[in-house]
Amino acid sequence: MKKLTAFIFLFMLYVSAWSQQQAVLSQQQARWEVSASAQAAKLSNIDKEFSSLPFSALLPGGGISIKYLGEHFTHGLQASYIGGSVQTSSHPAYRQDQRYLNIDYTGLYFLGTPDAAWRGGAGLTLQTLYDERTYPELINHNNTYDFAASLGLAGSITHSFNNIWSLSDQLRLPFVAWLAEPDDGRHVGSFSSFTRIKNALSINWNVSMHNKLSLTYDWDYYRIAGQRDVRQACHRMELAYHLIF
Amino acid sequence: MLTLRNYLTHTISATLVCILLCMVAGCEKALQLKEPSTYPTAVFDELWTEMDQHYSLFPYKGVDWDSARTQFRSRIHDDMTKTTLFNVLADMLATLKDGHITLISDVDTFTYIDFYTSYPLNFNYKNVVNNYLQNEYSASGPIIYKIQSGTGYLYYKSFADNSTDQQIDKVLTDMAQTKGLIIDVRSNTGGLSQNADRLFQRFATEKTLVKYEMGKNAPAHTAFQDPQPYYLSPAGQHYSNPVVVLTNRACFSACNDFVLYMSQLPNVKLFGDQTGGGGGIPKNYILSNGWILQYTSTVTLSPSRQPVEGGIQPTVNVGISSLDEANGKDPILEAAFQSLQ
Repeated sequence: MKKLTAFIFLFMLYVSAWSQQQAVLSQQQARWEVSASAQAAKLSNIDKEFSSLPFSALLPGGGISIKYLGEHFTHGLQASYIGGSVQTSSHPAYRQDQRYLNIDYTGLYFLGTPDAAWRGGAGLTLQTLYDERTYPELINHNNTYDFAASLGLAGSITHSFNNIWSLSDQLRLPFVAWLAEPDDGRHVGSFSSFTRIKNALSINWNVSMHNKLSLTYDWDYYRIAGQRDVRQACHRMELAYHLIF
Repeated sequence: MLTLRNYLTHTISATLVCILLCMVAGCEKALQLKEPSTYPTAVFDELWTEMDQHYSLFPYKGVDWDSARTQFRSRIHDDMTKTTLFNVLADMLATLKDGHITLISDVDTFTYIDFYTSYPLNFNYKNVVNNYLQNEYSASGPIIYKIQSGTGYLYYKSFADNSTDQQIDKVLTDMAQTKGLIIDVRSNTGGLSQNADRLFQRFATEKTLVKYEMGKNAPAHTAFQDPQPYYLSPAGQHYSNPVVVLTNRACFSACNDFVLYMSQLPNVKLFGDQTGGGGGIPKNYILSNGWILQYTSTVTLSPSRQPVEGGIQPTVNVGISSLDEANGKDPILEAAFQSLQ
């Protein structure tokens, strides 16, 4: 309850500050950015409901995003999907068909002007993940999923070299989550029962006023502890094209 | 103001970089997505613990699992062969006397079958086909059937063999004019519960509570979720005349469920020996050495909330003696036929 109260307070503060910022922005030019990306991910997981063996593979994926870029505020909505078969390295005959979907919203307030060399920002993030796993070699009880919708904090730091190249890092840490699993039902989890760390390190190339390319290394880890113990790490390389208008 | 802003920017930036480095370093270590040990002692401990925390029938088996660990772990050492390890694990699993328990390895496969091999089988398929069906019968999918003297006979060998709605409806449409029906599920060792459900739905007259299913919610042997009711509704070609279901000890798992469901209908009687049990849903677990362990993960309860792992008792207990079998006789089938005349 304390966490929820703290979150509501933070959220109201955030909305209030953002509203004031809109008045200032009316005289300045905000930008929108849409992007599409191709991804390659090394996905590894252990679901102790089925085995203590790790399953992993290099899988293809894709993503889309839309961002609102204000002078101090940014709002981003991202969706990504990775799917395919993962195997155990010691017993490749066993495979797991996996689908991993993420939809995240992140709102950040940045200190410093957009043309500053260093910029740091902090804000809130609402993340959802759906991870479905099927074990074709097993009978009965051979399908499972994790769903988590979480609220958390986000931080970002950017260094611009010459307004053409920039390096940025964004870290997202949820502190409360709503979880749904097939056997354990639905429940609210905190950091001890649901741990997630998502970090994206990007190199950005402003090709022109309206075009940008980025290469991102995204490290996404989550663990759900309880009667079922699920751990997953996703190391993802993402090449994205951004259209800015 | 600008100085303060710059100061805050650099402080936040430095803090974030530090947090990031700590998180990545710390969490990669905590992740532990490493291959687990495959030494015999580790595999034994993994299997014992998996059963200890997730096997659902300990409260009904009367087995001291801690004592089993003490007894069998003394036979485990890390330089033993795979075959020897397999045999020790199979011996330990056999103490639970559960037909759903299976251990599949690259050296052998263990399945507990004493639940029916320790008793008279009370079924001889050749005698039924040769002497009662006279080698003339119809087939629809996995079901064989015949009408004789106005009474129907239906044999479903295994619920592992899928049937469709159309195949079952074809049988029951042909049986529509019979005065009674014998359903023979002897030695049907189970399979997919959907096949048992589909057949039952032709005899149900209304939405029926047929069982409860109860899964575990914590490692303790007695930690269970609330029983979840399971209902089935009528579907397909309905049959309402008297029915006799023939059972034996090898009627197990999904077959046990089918007999449980049918036993709740007023126009149904059970003839033969009690069923073999298998009152729970099996699940699989891949051990760290690649062997597959199967075990019961839920408890099936009757509508009166009684466990059915011990089997379903027949309405009329009839057996087949060795002499009867040698003479090609099937007293269970004959008794069922007589009761429907």
